[in-house]
Amino acid sequence: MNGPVVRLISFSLMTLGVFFSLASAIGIVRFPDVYTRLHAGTKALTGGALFILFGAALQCGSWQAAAKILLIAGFFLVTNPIATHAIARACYRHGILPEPAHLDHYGKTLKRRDLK
Amino acid sequence: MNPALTGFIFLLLIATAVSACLMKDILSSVIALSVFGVLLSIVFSILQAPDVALTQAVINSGMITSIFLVAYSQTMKVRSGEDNTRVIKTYYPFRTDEMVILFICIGLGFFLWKGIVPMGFSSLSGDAANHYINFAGVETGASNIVAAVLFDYRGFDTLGEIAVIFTTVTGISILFEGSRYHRSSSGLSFIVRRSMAFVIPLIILYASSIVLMGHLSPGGGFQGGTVLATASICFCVVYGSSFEAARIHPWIKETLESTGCLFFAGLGLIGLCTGAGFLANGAAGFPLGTQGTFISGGSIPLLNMAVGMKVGAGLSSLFYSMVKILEAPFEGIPGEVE
Amino acid sequence: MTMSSMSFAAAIIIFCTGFFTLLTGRNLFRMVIGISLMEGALLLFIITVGYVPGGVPPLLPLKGLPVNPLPHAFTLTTIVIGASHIALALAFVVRIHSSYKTLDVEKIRGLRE
Repeated sequence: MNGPVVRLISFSLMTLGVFFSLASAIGIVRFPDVYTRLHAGTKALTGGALFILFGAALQCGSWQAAAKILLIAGFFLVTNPIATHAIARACYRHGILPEPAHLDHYGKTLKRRDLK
Repeated sequence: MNPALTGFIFLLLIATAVSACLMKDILSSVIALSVFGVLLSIVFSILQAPDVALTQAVINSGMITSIFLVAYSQTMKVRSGEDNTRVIKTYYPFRTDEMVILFICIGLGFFLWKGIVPMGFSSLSGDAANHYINFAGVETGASNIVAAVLFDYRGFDTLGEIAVIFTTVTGISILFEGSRYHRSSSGLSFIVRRSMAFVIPLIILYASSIVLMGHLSPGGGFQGGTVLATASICFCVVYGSSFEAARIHPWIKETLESTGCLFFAGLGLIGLCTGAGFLANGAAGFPLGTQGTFISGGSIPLLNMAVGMKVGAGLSSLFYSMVKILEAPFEGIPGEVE
Repeated sequence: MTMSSMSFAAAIIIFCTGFFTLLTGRNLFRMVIGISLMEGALLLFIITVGYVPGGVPPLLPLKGLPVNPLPHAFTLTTIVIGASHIALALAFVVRIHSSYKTLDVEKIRGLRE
């Protein structure tokens, strides 16, 4: 798996991944609110990390190493959105509201549970 | 490696350490310290030390950050509704006494550098290191030279290290003596629970593989035990600590920890019984096997398992004793199961 | 600048930063962060002492000149013991807070009375 075409594909995948991670980092610094920063921190970052890991898996010497890297990619794909969900929920229950908030279904659900 | 890239990584390391020092918010400093730990682990990989990189990432950047956050959540009061992430406040305009201390620290750094320069920047390999490199495969049967040094040639130091962990866990359990099953936090939401139910068995599998292959590849008892404790911490955080106490009763953890310690000492006593020294490996009759296969290394895999049991159970009971006295989750909204 | 000299310089700078944090920290947490930074710098220093330029990791079968494995074993022990005492220090911080209700070092003067 070390021909020039394979190396070209893997390097271009890794460059794409680096671009996504850089965009996510700039987004976390420049966005105005916690919730928008979480968007930047999850969607772009997961995609960037997956591209980099796929590019690295294409260049491995043995299939065991490539399988390990793909397992890492799967684990990252599962756990990063869970963590973002937990952070966003904790932010809401702490009292930080996104502004401007037009629809607030979660708040209505909590109030209905309190009134029961 | 490219010197410019290495220099950039070192600069990032220094920048993270300085920002952990200068930021006013404690939580930001703790997260900067965690990033410092991850960058230090990358630097260890660059310096050709994979064992140390794995240990640093798992223990210092995983375990210690979670203990910091537990201590932070128990002591600092945060006002609800406040979003103070827009402005980063630092300590930068120093007061007079802080400037004096800064000059003292710069002077200390200057004299440390002058002390290192005559040492030369070449490697210092003595006779012991050359002997271990040349004969570790033959005398111990293990492929990982660092594991051979830790568990065979310098096994007595590892016994002392286990004693230190035992003392720490005992001390923290004494400090947090109290009633046993407070109803602490109720855990996270339904999405997190179902997803972590898929992930946690894989974490335990990964921990077991690190422990069992400690003599073949970078890893060992300490790293694998800490990842096991991480699985137990996931239980505490995601499902609530009363759930964790109901599933894994605290006396199971105490028994597992003591069993690991006794197992380690027992393997050492076998060496005494057969006539060789305490904690002897090949001389005590343990089968060394072919180097590179799974059954090799004599007593090193068994010692790894003992250390893994002890460290895993000890660290998880340490975390549980720090978490079990948390008060009600947050003011205003009642705890619920969604 | 070789790798070793960059490593030594970084270790010294981080050690002095941790020392500064320990001395000027008003909050108890800052002192623990300072101790942790000093330990990290020390680990970097120990590993750099054993580094051989152009070396390979100490795993058999060797593919070249191996790096000195003795500092690695020593560093493993140091990491574990350092983590243990940071955990104990944090437990003390939590206990002090529950007794004095404050984390400010200037206000905790119980031994004086």
